Amino acid sequence: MCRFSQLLIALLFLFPCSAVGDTPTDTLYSYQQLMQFFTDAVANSDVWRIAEVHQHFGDYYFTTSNYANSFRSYKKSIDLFENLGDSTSLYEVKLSLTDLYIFLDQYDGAERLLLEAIQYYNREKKGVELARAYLDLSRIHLDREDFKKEIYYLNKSVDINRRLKDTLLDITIGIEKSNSYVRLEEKNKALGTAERALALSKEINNPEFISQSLLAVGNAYQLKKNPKLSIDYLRQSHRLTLPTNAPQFRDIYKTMAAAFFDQESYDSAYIYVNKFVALNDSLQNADQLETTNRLSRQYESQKKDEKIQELSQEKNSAEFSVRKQRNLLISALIGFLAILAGTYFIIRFFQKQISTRELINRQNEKINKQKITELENNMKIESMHAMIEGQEAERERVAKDLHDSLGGLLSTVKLQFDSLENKLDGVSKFKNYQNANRLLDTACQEVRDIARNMQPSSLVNLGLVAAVRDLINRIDDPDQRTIDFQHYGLDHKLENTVALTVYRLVQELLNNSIKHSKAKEILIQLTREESEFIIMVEDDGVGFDIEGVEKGMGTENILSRVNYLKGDLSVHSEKGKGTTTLVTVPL
Amino acid sequence: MFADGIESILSEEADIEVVGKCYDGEAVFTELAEKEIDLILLDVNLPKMNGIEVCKKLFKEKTNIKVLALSMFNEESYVTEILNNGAQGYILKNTGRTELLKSIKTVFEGQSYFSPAVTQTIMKGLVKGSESSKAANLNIPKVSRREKEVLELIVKEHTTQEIADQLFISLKTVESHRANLLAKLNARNTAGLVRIAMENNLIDV
Repeated sequence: MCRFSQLLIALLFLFPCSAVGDTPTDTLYSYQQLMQFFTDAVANSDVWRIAEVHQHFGDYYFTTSNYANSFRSYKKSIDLFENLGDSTSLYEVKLSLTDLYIFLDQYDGAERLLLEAIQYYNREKKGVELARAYLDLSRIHLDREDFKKEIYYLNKSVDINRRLKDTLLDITIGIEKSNSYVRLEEKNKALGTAERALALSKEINNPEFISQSLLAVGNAYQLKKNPKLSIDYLRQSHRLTLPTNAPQFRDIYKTMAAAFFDQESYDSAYIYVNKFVALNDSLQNADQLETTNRLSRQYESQKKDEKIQELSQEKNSAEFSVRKQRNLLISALIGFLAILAGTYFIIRFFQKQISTRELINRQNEKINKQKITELENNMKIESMHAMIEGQEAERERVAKDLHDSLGGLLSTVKLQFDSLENKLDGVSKFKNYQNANRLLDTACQEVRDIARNMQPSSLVNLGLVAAVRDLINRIDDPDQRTIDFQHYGLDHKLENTVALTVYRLVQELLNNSIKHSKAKEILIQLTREESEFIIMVEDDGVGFDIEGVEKGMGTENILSRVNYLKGDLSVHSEKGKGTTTLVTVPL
Repeated sequence: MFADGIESILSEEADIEVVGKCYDGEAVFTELAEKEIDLILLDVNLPKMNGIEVCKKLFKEKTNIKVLALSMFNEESYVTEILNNGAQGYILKNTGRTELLKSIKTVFEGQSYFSPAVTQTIMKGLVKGSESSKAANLNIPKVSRREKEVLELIVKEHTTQEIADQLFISLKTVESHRANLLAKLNARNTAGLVRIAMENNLIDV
């Protein structure tokens, strides 16, 4: 961008004095002037003139750095010229837009427009414009650092210019080509083009171009590792360079420094490096200053625009506000009346509704509360079910695993280990062997017990009665109490979950009795009726005060299981007279 | 795996030949159709058809095959059940080689064999069973204390509501006790209940 803006400035110098002649963009008008042109053109309904003024607006905005407006104005101009069918003017504006694109680094847009223009100029055989378009195209590629393409387009430009014989353009192209060859490190081509440009410049005796060409030749010699000649040319260039052309001085210093360095004149090289750095810095500062200026100019022009818009708006709004006030008054009046009527009807309506609605609301509230409690209860029951079912499922799984895998494994180990006795005479005399054998038996027994406590397999396989009988038989009771088990109507199998829950209840009640009651006799009674199942556990123990009973894990478990079966629990206990627990479960 | 272990031990014996292994209850009968078998070592806990059912079917078909039950479970209920269905012996899975061979030979010769632990279980069941039958009065099972209270009030012609009030229990509980009494005294209604109660001196009137 930075490099290009400098090139662009050079371009603005170049074309006015070249054969391209006066383009409509070469004169810059003030905003007031343009506005005047515009109003006149509109008054005369002169569309072509409007299009032209838009183009000028584009230029104006471009130079005042209001790029968005510049773009809009160019676009308007393009649209109008297109409608008018004035291709010449159309492509002129398009090229102006191209400049804008390039300035804003929008190379794709610029390239597209240029190729379009080139096609048109080719068709119309407009050599000058064509050469200019190619030159522009080459500069796009220079900025993209595609030097080969740059030279390709420069050559195109040269070809066209051969017919036009525009020397200034020739020189310009020559210098640019030389610079590109330097970048591509094509030493001979760089030198050749530069020398040709120098010769042409001398022919027309233009000091500015001579100095530029001298610089190009100097650059080429530096590339050819001929510092002596390079310095020679650069000095000549330095002499002829206009004092205002700082960028050229900078370029001269840069190559000078390099040349002295190659000559091993380090002192001189050092001086030129310093000069180069100083100038480069100030140029960049100038660049920044330019940016600041541009911004402030942009701000000012925007202000101006705003003010103009404001003025026209003020005029409009003055007319408008009178009408608005009148309308407002009428609509406010109508609105007020409507609200008044509406309020009256609404009040009447609600007076009727209010009493019945209150009644309905109260009933709804009641129903909702009931629903909520119902839901809560259901949820409690659900979660309890889930818990109990989950627990039992887990127990079943663990019991099965213990039996099938660990039990089987241990049994096999025992069998193999025991058969050693047959193979190794006298092994059974060793205490270790005996101990291990015994421990294996204990392990088997443990697995059996743990699995059984998890879930008695007899319950599933043989039914509730068998399981309860096993439960009673297993009790190792040092007090030798009598446990009586009676059952009626249990010939048919119960549903698994019911059977399991009943079993757990019996287990829990029996445990409580044995642990706490000091009973001599315990009676367990299971009765199946048509529509219910009755569990009764009775002991002749110490009994307890029902009120004072703590809600230990035992009672909690019993309650949750009774609830799970949606059953009834009745406990009757008197101190010294024993306890009767009765659970009734609907089937 | 356990079956393989048993096989490896039995195959070392000159007078025992392992003719087949089954991994579920149903397979036993296909093996039976093809081979001549003297004795089955039968696991009580088998998939598809458990050992008790297999035993029941063998017994029904009146085969002369001897059955030695083999189980992880040392439960009176299992032992009783499978013996009632025709098994001659019951050993636990953690039986050693010597005992295994001994049990097979014993059952093969037509006698019963139980692992020592199994014998203990059977004994325990018998003792507890005799205790409860001792408590029962002849043919009449033991009436619980609470049932007796209810029964007395029934005999005195109290209504269910009156019984509930007097015993501080719910109507439902009274009904449950009555149902239990009807079931254990084998009565069909309240009149029968009263008659049986009087005949057997179940109540102190």
